Amino acid sequence: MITAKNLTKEFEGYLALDDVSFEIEDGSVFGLVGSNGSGKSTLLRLISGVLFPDSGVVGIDGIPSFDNPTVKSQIVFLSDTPYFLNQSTLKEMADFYAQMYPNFSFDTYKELLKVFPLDERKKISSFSKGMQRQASLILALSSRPRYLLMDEAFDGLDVVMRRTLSNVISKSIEETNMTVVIASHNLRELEEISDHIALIHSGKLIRNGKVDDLCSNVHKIQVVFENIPELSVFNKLEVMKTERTGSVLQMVVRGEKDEIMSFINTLSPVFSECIEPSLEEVFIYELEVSGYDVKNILE
Amino acid sequence: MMLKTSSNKVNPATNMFKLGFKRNLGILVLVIIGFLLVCPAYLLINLNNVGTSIADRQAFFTAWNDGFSLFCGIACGIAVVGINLLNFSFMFRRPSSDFTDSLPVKRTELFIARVISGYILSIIPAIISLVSLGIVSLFIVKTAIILRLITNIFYVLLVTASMSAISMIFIVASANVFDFLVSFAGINGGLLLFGLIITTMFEDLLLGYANTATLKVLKAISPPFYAYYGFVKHLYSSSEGLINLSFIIRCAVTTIIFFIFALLLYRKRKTENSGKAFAYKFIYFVCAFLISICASYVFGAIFADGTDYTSPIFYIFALIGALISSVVYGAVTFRGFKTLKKSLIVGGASFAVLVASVFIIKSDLVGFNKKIPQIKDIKYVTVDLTGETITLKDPQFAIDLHKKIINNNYAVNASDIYGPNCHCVDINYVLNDKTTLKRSYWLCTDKIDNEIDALLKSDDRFDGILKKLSRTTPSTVSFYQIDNNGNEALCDSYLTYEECIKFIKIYKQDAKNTATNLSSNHLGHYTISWNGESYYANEFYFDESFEETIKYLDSLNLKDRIQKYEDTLLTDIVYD
Repeated sequence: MITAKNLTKEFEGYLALDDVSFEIEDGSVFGLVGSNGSGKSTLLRLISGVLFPDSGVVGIDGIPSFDNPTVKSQIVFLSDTPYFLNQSTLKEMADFYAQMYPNFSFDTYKELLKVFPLDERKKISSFSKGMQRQASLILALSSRPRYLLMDEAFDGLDVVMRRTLSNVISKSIEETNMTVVIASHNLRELEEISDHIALIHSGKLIRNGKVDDLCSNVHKIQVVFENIPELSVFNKLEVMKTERTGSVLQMVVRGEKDEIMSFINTLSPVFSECIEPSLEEVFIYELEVSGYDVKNILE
Repeated sequence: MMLKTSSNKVNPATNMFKLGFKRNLGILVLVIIGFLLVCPAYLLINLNNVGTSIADRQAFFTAWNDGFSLFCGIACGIAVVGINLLNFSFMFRRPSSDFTDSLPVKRTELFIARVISGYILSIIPAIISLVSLGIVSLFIVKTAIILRLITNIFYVLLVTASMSAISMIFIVASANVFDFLVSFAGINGGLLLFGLIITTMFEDLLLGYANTATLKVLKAISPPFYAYYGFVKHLYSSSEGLINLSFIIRCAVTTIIFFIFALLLYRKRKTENSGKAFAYKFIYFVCAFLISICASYVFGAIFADGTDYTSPIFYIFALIGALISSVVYGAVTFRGFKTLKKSLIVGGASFAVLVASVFIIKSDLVGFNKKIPQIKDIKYVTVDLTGETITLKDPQFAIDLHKKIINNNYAVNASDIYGPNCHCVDINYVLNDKTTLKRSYWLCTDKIDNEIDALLKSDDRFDGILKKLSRTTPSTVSFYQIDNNGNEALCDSYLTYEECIKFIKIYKQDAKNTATNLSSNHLGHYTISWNGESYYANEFYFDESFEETIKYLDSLNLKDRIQKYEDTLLTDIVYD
């Protein structure tokens, strides 16, 4: 399990992470979403042991990862800019990874080469940005780490490759119970693949939970009244947002769906329906309620 | 499905070392071929141009051994800095830093693995080439150069390690390649220049400062200079294959200390500092300070037309130089004038240090000018008069001479001294605690005629000359007679060893008996010279009162020997 407790990191007066605490269960896909400069990359770099926290602890099963080869041998970190040894081919990089990571599997490597068709004898520097991203994914997944950390993993990949990557990751998790942490500024990318999502903004973790829990507890209600009652009537509900257009009232309400609908029905509406919001919408509503400037957080 | 996993069970740091080595194998082979083309290939081609005698070939190989070893030392020093820079350049960019720092390798192990691989890669071509030189020499000249070659290789290894350690401090403290280039060149070059500036100020402002101390200062403040100075000194020493143990120990200890310091800096280095200016800000300040203090002095000296420390022009332009250099350096380093205020402070501080240095040295706050050791503290003392060093059994004579020079303000600036009787007089005290106190005075020697006369006639002087002769026992000693106008009454003649000993003894007797002041009233001088551990030469002033000496030299018919001199000299070289 990845654990972080009261994690703080500052870069020359800029507070990149501010007292962040969380846990990531083994075998899960943890999506970390936030705008540029929110602290996502810093968090991944701290987990992978690249950075040393100013305060707090981060590591695996409570053991700090910084300068700890035993812990780090279980983690593969893919930075937002893939890096390869100078003038190396994919085959050479595979040999390098095999020398670094004890679980590196050449069988997996060969299998992944079929999925991501790259020429392993060609210099990686001659690859396109997307191909380089694929190369780094092949190497990371072939290392069969317990924890795979990916920063902007889908950058440079086309739609087909994104889908393929999602499938490959799912398969790896099935096979090895690998934990994946993906950081992205694009919530839609993460929604499909993640079972946990955390929202980070200005170095603070402002929402964190299972995708199902986050979505199931927020509902978008659309109601038509002959005469719209006073809004104070709805104070019994936990209304996050209200919009009124003529006789139509749109509300975002937190709570149990059945309880909400039974209350609405007691007000004798002409029409009422409950729509399940997307994860992005849930985040937007949650953030608006909390007083955040949503535009700056979710791109 | 059974998975075929990596068989990696060894330390990833070792694997990293091996892989680094494997990846550079191609370049390494090319460099080795390049070195082998120089030595032994080029050497063997040139061997045809050398005479066929063993002596000729021995000399040729000895020269190659020393010259090529020095080349290897310099090449390895440059190579190790370059390879270290490449090996650790991952720290300078975030993607490579993220990649390397996320690998399952301890930081200390990574540092050691990369430093060692850089070191080995740097030295392999040179060592192979030098070993091949040794093998070739064994086949061609039977009296091999092996012992000296082995010591030369040892020195190459040592100076390369020293350069590696020093460079690592600067690489680790830099946040990009530019930082490294500026700080490595700026601080190492700046320290040497700073040392020269300080010692120039000593020379200009202190009475009796011996400029031989400049070398000591430079060796003390610049480790690369110290390492290469020791190497070059070893190459110039005539002692076959012997090493200077004191140098070896000091160089090895400083190298180890520098490696440890670099490692500690690396461990403390924040990984997030890649690409920003200086991982450790103190390097910037040291660099800026050194650059601006050197610029300050140079500006002052240029515009004041020399180092006139009393001229306001010197100080005005020294201040301008300090500020300009500091601001320019700050602007270049930080790509703009964000640090203008800091730069101005550093420039101002450099100027203040320069002014304070001039004040402290000129006002002789440490009592340099008047310092004379107590007789009880002196082990022995030597006095050097126009190139001849006399070791005195009684230090009181030197103390009295020293006091006379100081109390009468006889010493003048070297540039102000003119005339045939103006010379440099060195007094070198060796103290009981093994330290030395050396003073070097430029003065008109007619002011200390009596003291010089006493020294020239002293037993200490003749005992010293005889001791040197008996230590080296040359078969012949070159002999000249020169009158006061510089005319050579007798040149290119020689005395045998026994004749020379007898000549000195007779001369000594005449010197004791004569009333002539040899410092001022002589007619000319005889010169004897010979090669031993080094080149020795002594002058013996005389006038008509040296009857026994003149009679003895006449009896030797030295003029008849002039033609035979060259033959005798050559015979000496071959058989001696």
